[in-house]
Amino acid sequence: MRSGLARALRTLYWFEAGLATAAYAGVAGLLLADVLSREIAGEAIWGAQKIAVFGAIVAGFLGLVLSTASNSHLRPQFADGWFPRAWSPGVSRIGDCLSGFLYIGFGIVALGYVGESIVANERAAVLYTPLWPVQIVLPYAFFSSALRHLSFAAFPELKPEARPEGG
Amino acid sequence: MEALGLIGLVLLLLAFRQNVILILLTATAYVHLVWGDGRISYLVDDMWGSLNNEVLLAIPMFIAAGNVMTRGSIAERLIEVMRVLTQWLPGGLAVATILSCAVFAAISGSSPVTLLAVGTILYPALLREGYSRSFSLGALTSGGTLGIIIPPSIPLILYGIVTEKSISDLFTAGIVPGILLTVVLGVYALWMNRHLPSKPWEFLAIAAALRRGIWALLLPVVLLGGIYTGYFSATEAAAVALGYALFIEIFVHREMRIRDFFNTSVETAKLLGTLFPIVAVALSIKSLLTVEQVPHALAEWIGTIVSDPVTFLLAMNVLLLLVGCFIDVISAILILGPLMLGIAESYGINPIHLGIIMVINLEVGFLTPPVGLNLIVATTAFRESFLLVCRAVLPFIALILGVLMIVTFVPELSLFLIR
Repeated sequence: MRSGLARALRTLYWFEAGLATAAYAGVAGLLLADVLSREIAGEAIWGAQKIAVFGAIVAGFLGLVLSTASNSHLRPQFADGWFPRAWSPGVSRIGDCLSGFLYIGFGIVALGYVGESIVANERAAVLYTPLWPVQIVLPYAFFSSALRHLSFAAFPELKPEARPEGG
Repeated sequence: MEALGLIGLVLLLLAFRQNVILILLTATAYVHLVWGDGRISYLVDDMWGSLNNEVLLAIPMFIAAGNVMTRGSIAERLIEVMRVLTQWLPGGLAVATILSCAVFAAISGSSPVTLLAVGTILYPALLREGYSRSFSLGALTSGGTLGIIIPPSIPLILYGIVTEKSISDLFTAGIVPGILLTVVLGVYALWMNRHLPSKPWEFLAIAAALRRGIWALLLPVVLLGGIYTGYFSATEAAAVALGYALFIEIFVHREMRIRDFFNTSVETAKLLGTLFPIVAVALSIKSLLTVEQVPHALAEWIGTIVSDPVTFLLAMNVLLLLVGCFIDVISAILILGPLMLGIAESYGINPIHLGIIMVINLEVGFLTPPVGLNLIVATTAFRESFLLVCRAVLPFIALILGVLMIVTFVPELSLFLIR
């Protein structure tokens, strides 16, 4: 059970990392091409900035999941001593459970938001394409983060050492 | 009663070790439910609206450029240039440490990354050449924080986004305070190590180091020159920075392969993943506060207590220094930026100047326990005791506070380049 879950999470991680890389490469390529086009041809590439914004949103929310998977989110640690040190593993597991359920809650809210967007047929400015295929990354990121936290709560040994990003 | 509920909720989340994103999301959901229109979906709506904005594109691009340049041999090349240029000074390596941190910070935009990249090479070298352990730790840990004020700085971009002020103006305004900080730290490094022996100029070594490091040294020149002359917007400058970084790492230094690009992209996505949701939630909070006219009410209330701008600036500095001890710089800028802006404007303080003051204040937060990120990184990376690192940065904190006071009460230092 544990090794199967670890394998599944690893596969999911590389899938999400691949998608985030593709989104990132797309954003970088579009923006560079846009700047070059403006300098050389004298006009911007139609819709490049808007597509790049969507790419950055996708990369950013997949990054949320990747950060959760590698336990590298910013976390205030000054309250870690509020419970006795001996309780630390238990508090950590309860914390992961809580995180999992909170992410599920926000995932449900985000899913409802995307549903409303589909019903209202919301479209992107400039591009005039439906927004929901991009917006779906929000509930996905929340549910995928929930899966990570609940897995860490069930099997704490799957949780990587904390390595905060940022600065 | 509702306010107590919010405080209790945040304390509970802190006690159970939730990350910043979840704390902000949950607290904002509570605010929407209790004081807003009672619908949490507005939170997601605001998040989407905040992120669906071209100005934000500067953030992933600068992060990617910093990561690309950090992965190669840029740090080693820059340090070599600084070392050979300063070796004729007594205590030259100490000055080289500060200058390397400043230049590398201008490339990477990240304080802990600067500390690690420069420190890994220079910490053993400093000890080997007779510099004291305490000075070496203090110089590297504090020098690493220069990244937050020297453009391109992610906190300055975030301040610009959340207060709707020009990011190019903020970058330009950060140049002189950044140089001033570097000079002050450099002079202190020189003074503290004046008894150490110097070495003669070696023109051949300088020429060789410049030849190896010239491409890296040119990046800040291209970026700041482009922004200052108005040739690039912040987003365009970010794209150019990334293109330049990729070009020199792939074709000039030949340090980057496809696999490295993949790893860099994943690291960048992770950093973006910690940043974007915080930005989105903070902008959502800002919308709610603006609708409820909270900044205006707060400005009126503070106006009844504090009568003049000088007292307000002093009080704000103390508040921000305290906040910096407990909250990370990103959350602090995003949450306090719009609140402070409303109050500061009522005292006639320029918003760009306010941004520079806030960022230098929060820079000190990297060096103060319990959440000083650079303290933690230095303790781990250099395998020294936390207490020793805390003691080592004390003189440097005093110097940064001195510069902060000068920047606070001499606004022209920040503003004369944008007037």
